[in-house]
Amino acid sequence: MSSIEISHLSKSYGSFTAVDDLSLQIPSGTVFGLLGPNGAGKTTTFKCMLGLMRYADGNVTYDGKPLVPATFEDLAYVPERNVLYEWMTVAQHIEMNRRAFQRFDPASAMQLLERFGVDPRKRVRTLSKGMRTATMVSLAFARNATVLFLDEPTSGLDPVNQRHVLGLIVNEAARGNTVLFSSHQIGQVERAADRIAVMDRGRLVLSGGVDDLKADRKIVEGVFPNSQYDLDAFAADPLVGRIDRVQRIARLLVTAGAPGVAQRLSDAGATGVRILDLNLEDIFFYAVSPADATSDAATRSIAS
Amino acid sequence: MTYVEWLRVGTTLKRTAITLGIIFLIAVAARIWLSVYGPVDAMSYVGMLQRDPASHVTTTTLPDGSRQTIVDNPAQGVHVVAVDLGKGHEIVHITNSKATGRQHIAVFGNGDVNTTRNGTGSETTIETDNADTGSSALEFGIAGFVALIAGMILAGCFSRENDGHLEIAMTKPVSRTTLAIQTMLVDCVGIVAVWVMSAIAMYALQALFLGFHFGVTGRDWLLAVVVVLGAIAWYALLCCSTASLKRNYGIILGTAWIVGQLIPVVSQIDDNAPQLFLLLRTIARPLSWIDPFTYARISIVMPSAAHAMHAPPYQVDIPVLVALSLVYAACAIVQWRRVEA
Repeated sequence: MSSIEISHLSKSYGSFTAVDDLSLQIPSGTVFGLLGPNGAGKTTTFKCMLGLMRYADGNVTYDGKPLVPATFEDLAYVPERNVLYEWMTVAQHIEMNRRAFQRFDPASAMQLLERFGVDPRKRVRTLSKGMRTATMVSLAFARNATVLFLDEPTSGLDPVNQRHVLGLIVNEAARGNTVLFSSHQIGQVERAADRIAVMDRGRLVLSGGVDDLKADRKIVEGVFPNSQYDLDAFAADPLVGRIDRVQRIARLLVTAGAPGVAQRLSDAGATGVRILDLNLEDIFFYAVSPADATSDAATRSIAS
Repeated sequence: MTYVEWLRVGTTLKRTAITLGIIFLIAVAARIWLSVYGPVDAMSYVGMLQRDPASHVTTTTLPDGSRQTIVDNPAQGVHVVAVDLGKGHEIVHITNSKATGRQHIAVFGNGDVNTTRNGTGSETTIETDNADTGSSALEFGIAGFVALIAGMILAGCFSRENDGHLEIAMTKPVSRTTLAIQTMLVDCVGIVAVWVMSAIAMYALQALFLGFHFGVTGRDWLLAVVVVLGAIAWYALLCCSTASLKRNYGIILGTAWIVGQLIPVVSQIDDNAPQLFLLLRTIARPLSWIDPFTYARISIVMPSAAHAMHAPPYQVDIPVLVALSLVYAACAIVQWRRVEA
């Protein structure tokens, strides 16, 4: 079991809609990055998927079946905040997991904790934020679950341990397991994720394979002889996501067919037309704040 | 699945043991102080005298079945005649022909001591009647009170999970209902264990001062059942009151017992009381029907409490307490099932 399907999921807190008609398919063996600004609904989505919150509409299935208590043998969850019991030792948390989950491997947990430099004899209240995150991550990866939900799994970790967590995520995918994770560090998502979904204000604004998104999305830039130029023909083009005009410079964000758009821009009178690549961070910014994204992305691309 | 709750129960037991241990150590110190500076315990005095190598001890069984022990100690100038009539009833006559530094003899427990001076010596007659110590009502009642406190402490089981740990509790491969039932059962085991521990401690304290005169009557067992069920019902009520809370549950746990204790008392206010009290009684009376304190009458061992006189008999208390426990537990579970992380 490891493929997940979310259909038309909606969750509200009073009048505030935290998740709005979200539909996603997460194939098995995928590292799936869920991105979005603060308050986008990522954590709420995780909680709805895990039955920790009731949702008004929609459906979540695991291999076509609804979530039942037995499903949790296959799921491991690292919440974004510390949920460990402050008064318990790390070793007691290991024992708690050993008793609760059949496939939990205490030896593996101990190895991971050692790798992160966490002393299992310590009480959680004496651990730093990073150590607590490392403990939760270690416990989750020692579960031998087929689906891992990791909500900000590198929060508070130093760069070395962040890289170690990314390595663990990639290893899980190599074993055929599914990893669904969120992070504000888009560079990490770009390194680890096969597919991403971007949420903004509860809605899904972008999803797809990381490589596909990067291959398709380009900025086409050209310089016109004067600032009086007409781009109305491009505004109606479904391939053009956005048009920015900065005096004589026109920048078009295209979602596919960049060479064709570049040719048309050239035909419209622009000179020095070129196609600029976008990284995942640019794509993310474009998705959640299109007003600023294209010029920022172009500026960075030119500078580099 | 309930490992965390077992740890909580273990901690509660540990703290109870430490508290009772400290009380016991204080009692031991008090007992030693009494032995050195206080009055001489009559029965200990006779016992010590019997073990004195200078004493000549004769034991006979009298025609009525009672046991007579005569101790002669010429060195101390003491002659003792002790008759054990059974069931803690003893009559001891001590004739002391010499004045000693420790003349004051007392009885710890039920009994009378009469001492008369006779020149330099004295005549002391002691009659103990520890038949009452054949009842364990006091021990069981006090143990019930301790179990009630333990129940109060453990009753935050759901709200403590709500307070930042639901992501752990509710992602276990078990239904919330099952987990909730298991959690409450673990706590009930803890409450019973605290009661047993406390009852043993009470016996130990009694033995320290009154000797080993233990006995349990059928009524005592009924009292034990009532006080333990009372603690469990109170625990269930508090669980029900706090199951959906994520914080501030400590205020309810810490103060509810005051209201719980007052309700049965207020509900029994006399008709001649001022109007305000009668109004309070009107409010309190229906509440008293669902208040475990109405039925868990630890006041049986403190009969001065007004409501104890009006309380229904055990035959009513026990089934009502069971029903209240089940209803409150069910309410707690229903609420906890709906809590969101």
